[in-house]
Amino acid sequence: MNPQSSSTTTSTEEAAAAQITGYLGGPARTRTRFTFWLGTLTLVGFAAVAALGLLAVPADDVQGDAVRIIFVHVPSALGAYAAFGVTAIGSLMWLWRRSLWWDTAAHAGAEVGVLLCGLTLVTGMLWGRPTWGTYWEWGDVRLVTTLILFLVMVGYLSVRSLGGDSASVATRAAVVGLVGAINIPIVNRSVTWWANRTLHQESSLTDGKLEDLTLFTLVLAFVVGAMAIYWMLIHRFRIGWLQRQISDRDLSEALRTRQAEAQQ
Amino acid sequence: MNTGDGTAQPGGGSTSDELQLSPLASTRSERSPRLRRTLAALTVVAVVAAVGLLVSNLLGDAALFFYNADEAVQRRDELGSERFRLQGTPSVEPPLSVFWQDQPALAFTVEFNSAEVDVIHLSDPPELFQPGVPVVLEGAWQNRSEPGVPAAASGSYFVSDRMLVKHDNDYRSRDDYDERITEADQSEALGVSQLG
Repeated sequence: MNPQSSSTTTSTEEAAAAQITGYLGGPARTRTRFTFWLGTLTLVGFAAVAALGLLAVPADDVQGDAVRIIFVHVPSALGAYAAFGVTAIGSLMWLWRRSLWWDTAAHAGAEVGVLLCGLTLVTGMLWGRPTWGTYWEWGDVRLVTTLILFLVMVGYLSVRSLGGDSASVATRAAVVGLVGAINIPIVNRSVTWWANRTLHQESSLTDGKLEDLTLFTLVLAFVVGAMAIYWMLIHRFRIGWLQRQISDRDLSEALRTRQAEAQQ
Repeated sequence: MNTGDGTAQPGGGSTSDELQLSPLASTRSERSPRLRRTLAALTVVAVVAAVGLLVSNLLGDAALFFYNADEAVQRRDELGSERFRLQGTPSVEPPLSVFWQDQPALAFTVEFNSAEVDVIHLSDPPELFQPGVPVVLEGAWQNRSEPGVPAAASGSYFVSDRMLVKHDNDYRSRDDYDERITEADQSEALGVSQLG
């Protein structure tokens, strides 16, 4: 371990950063020039979506201003599917190839997906109250399957914190990740498969039910949302990768120390 | 820096020449592994239980979320006085304010697939309740009638106490709607039939 990291003059945070640098043999940061510009462009994109969605897009003749939540709700839902899709592919690749890279990607996908799925549920409820007349309706297939997807993926994150060696953690989590992913097409198609079981409308996008500016703003929100998700996935993946290296260093360090002690 | 925690004293063991690979205590402060494991296991059990409850709720209670108006009419006898949800679109006539068993109520008709159901609704409707926007009503068939309430065409009323608006996936801007109304008015003024 790097003895310079315990300097008494540095603050706790600086000491922690220096310790990580010592572990990794280089600066431990997740930012690159690419992610910096991607993040900056994403923020500009969000500002454009907010301006168009709140000011330029006209209110709906039935829902009024409640329609504007579509620019957050729908991209969040599709983003959650995509992020959980990364978890599914990563889980499969772990089980098939024992790829730690893919296991780390699966973990990143689950965290980002849980965030977006939660956002989908909250924005849906906020839209449901003024439009349907209720925040939540038990028995509604779209709502309940989305909640199940959210809970299973929260379960995925819990399983990852169960402890044990990294291989068994990855295997247990991969099984949960794949079980959760089965639900993605069910959630997505539920409004079509069980039309009599849901208050939720069918897709406006695929049915061509959106007017020009609303459609343009929604497509822009998809593009910006995809950029934001990519940005979050990259950073979460790199954090996961650094954590893995630190944990490996911890083990090697412990072995070396024990070995040295035994030889004295 | 990392010198162990005192339980692994150098030379403390009799096999000092052998390589010791038993794990050392972690230098990072965290809850005991046993407690962490138990908490995580409890979380997993709670999540699995919650999911099981939701699935049973989904498949049991809501075997069918609603009947469309035409299905409800077809199953009139089978449904009897059972409570269920009914989906239909309020017809263009504005709802009438009436009294049903001394309670203020709204009387209107919903339709779906050419079937019509006369509805008596006993609570405040959602803000978006309006002709042409589909609704889901919770209630039951009733054969009784009340003075002052228009006679039900089918002889039965669907008496509901809860209403949800089922918004479809068609979004139209208010500006566009106003434009269409203006166009319709102009056409009417010119004597053009809108009914085609």
